[in-house]
Amino acid sequence: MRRFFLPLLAVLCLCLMTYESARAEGKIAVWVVLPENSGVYAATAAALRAEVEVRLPGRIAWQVVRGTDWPAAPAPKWVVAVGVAALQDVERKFFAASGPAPAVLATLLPRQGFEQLAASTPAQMREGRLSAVVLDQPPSRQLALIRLALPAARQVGVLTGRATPLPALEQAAHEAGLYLTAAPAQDEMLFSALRMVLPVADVLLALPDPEVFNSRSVPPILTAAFRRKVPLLGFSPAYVKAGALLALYSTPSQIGRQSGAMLVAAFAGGRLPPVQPPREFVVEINIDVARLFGLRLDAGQLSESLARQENDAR
Amino acid sequence: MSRFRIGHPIALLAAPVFLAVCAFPAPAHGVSEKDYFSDLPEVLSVSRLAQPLDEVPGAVTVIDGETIRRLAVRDVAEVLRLVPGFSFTRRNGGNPLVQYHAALDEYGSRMQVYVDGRSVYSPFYLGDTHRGLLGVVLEDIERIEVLRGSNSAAFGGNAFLGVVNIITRHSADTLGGSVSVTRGDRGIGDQSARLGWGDETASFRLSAASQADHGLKRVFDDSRTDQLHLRGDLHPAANDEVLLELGAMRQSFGEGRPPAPCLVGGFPFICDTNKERTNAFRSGYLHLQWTRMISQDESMRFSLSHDSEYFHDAFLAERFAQVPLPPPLDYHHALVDSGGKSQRQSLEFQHTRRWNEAWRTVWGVEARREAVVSPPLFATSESFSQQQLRLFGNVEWRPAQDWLINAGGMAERGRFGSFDGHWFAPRLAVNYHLTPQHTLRAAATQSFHDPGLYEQRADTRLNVVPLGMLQLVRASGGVRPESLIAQELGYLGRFREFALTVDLRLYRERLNQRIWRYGVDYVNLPGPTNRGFEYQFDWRPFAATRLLFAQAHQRVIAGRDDNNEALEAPRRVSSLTWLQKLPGNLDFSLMASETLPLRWGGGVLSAVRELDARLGWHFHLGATHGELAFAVQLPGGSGQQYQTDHVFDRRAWTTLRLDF
Repeated sequence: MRRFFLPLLAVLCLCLMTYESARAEGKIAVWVVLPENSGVYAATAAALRAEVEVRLPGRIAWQVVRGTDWPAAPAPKWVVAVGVAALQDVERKFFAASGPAPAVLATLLPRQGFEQLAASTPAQMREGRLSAVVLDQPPSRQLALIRLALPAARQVGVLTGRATPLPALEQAAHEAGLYLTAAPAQDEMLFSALRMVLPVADVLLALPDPEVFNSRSVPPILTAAFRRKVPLLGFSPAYVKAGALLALYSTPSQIGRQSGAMLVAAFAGGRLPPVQPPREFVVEINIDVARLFGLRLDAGQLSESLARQENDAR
Repeated sequence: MSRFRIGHPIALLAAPVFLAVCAFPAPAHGVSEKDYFSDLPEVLSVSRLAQPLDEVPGAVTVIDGETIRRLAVRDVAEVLRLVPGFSFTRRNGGNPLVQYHAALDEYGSRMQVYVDGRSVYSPFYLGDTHRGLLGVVLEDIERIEVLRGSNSAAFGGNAFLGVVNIITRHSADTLGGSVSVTRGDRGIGDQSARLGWGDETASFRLSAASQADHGLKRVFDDSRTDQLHLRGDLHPAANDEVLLELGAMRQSFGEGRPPAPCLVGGFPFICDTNKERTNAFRSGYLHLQWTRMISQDESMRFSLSHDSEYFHDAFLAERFAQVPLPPPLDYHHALVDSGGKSQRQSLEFQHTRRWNEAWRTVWGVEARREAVVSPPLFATSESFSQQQLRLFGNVEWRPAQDWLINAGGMAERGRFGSFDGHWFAPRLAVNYHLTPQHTLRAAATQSFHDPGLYEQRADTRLNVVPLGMLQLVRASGGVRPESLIAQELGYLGRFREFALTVDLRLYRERLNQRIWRYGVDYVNLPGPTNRGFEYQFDWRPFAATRLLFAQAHQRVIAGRDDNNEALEAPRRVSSLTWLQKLPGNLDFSLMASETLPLRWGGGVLSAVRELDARLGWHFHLGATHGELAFAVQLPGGSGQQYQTDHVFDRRAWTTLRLDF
């Protein structure tokens, strides 16, 4: 009996290995490229993977790539780049080289960062092999939140830098029945911009542009705005903590889930859908600041009203 | 207030870069996800934020700088007519006076006035705040917060009846230059100039102003006030903020009356005992305040201030016999002098902390020294001083979302001359939010008001030649602090749909041990009880229209058999203000005020009604913003002031202001 047992076990193992190998070959290989496997990047990747696994359980062969630590395996058909740096690395690795490049879904990055990098590979975009879920909230959503939270506000103040997408905001303000007061605030122009904008603005809208809004400039901006009784709408939770009245943003989990759904759609259609703004979002309020402005705001209610408005508009 | 701040905090922080800039290969000038997920310095921390109006343990009126600049007024005292319960008059042209709950506070000596947290209460003579109210340039004011009602629990003895907090504009908000010139009748000639420089991290403002007029008709009361102020706002480190202020004021003002017939020992004389003369007042101050934000929920503040004042009022009083009398009995004279100097130094520490959502505490300690030198008032060239040590604290407890309880008090130890006493002024207030827009408040407090140095140590004599020495005042030093027990019920409602804010206050104030001059001494006597209610409406029916209505009704029940005490307060004080923006960059304001009869300045004044109007036109000359304004007070006639023969006539002026 023992004579047959070991060969039988070996054959069984061989069969199993053959089967696994065959099964793996049927899987879709996806590389997820992260600058670091922690913090917001890891949270985004985890949410993305969970979303895909719910829809296509066990169908994906995941490969997490940290930095430029590329695996020896052949390039996959699909790559997810989390953050600007990851997208840059992916571009260098695949688009610069000859040969077929994978389809790349960039996520957790600002639209401008994505567009700057995508500008060098327009063909990829056209062919649905490069797309993104960006972090930028649509201007219409930001302005709708202002209308909901501050119904009396008419003048929206904006401090602009070279990276500020002003035309889209102007268009949205026009549609929302609001007026924009914008002043260039990069370099040494911040204080003159504040002097120009704050006397007329009912609310200040912070837009992601490191030339204007950074850890050095935010304290004087918040201080000056608060002295002038102008509330500030920020684009991250840090703004609310720092003293902004409210913030509108999407969490890494929300962005990850949306990216997962987009990836599944791409598997089905063979090409990536166009660039998407965040679908889910969070409204956060600084209760202490709201109280000083004489406002009783409920973040949950505002968030629901905003979502309802968007659904109705669709 | 647990020494609260209302509205918004004094300027905060400008931080250096907290976060190391990541070596991140982002596109040049590009945005990256780091912008969305980086931490930011906490700027408006909870410990720095003020209490909102509906959570303050008392009634508050806030007057913003824009409103002040749109009114037909030339000094702060006139602005306070907007506040329910404040009566306004002018002792003469150079001495505008306000009093809160009149019966208790004829010269503003029982209320406290702060400019940017620095007390401007004068320790000289009987104590007063009216000259301190003149020591600020209207153009520099950001807002005035008036805490109506007793507030010793947070501000000490001088805040017996209320606190006027004048907050000047942050110097970063007044960068550039500004000049203004005012000319009008009755000799009105004012000018001011301002220069601001710096940015949000370090900014400065230098303001100079001069104000002059001929005062009231037929009264020797021409006055002129010159002042210079420097304010600096510095942010030496991320969590530190320093306020530096220094300034000086110089005032000359006419006093006295023309000679008049009088009887001396049954003989007719011409008395020139309150000679027409020009007095002088000079003051200077230095104020330093350092605030450190320790964490999101905790901050501390040190303040240091030094104030000095100089008064000059000396003249020769004379009496001339109108019938032949043997010399030297036909001519009496005496040198009357009430001049002197005073100084005050104050050092204060305050700590604020929020422990959790429900608890917040403020505590602090203040050491204060006041000194007065006045040979004519104290019959010695020695300096008298008093030291006070104050420990104050307030606990704010939110047992439920709709309830807020403030419990606090101030313990004060005062040592002046033979008196070495201490007292504790407690306060308890409960605020209940019926809805987020409607708040009820109930509060009870006991306050103390220290006697001034003059009331304790006065030794004022008059050597009338040839009759001999007269002892006018000889304080025995036995006078004790006054005490006031106050209860109030309040309501603050915001009717958003009507753009209307309503503030009601019902109060009872019982004054014990009122300090009176009795013979040549100062003594404590039973004081009156004030009962009344006051309210203010702030309504913006249209975007360009604002109506403010303030009214106070009060009854005084005399504490002893003295009918005069009951007449010391008007039964009603009202003001109605209409602010209107008009097309063509015009704005205009109208303020009507009325004070029913009251005893003031030795006689009973008839009802005083005033009407002030102002029309302003804003224009631009390139980058220069300008305003041309025309203002008129009492366009319809004249009104009685302070004394029955003091009449305030119609006066008008024009102001041109250029900001560049």
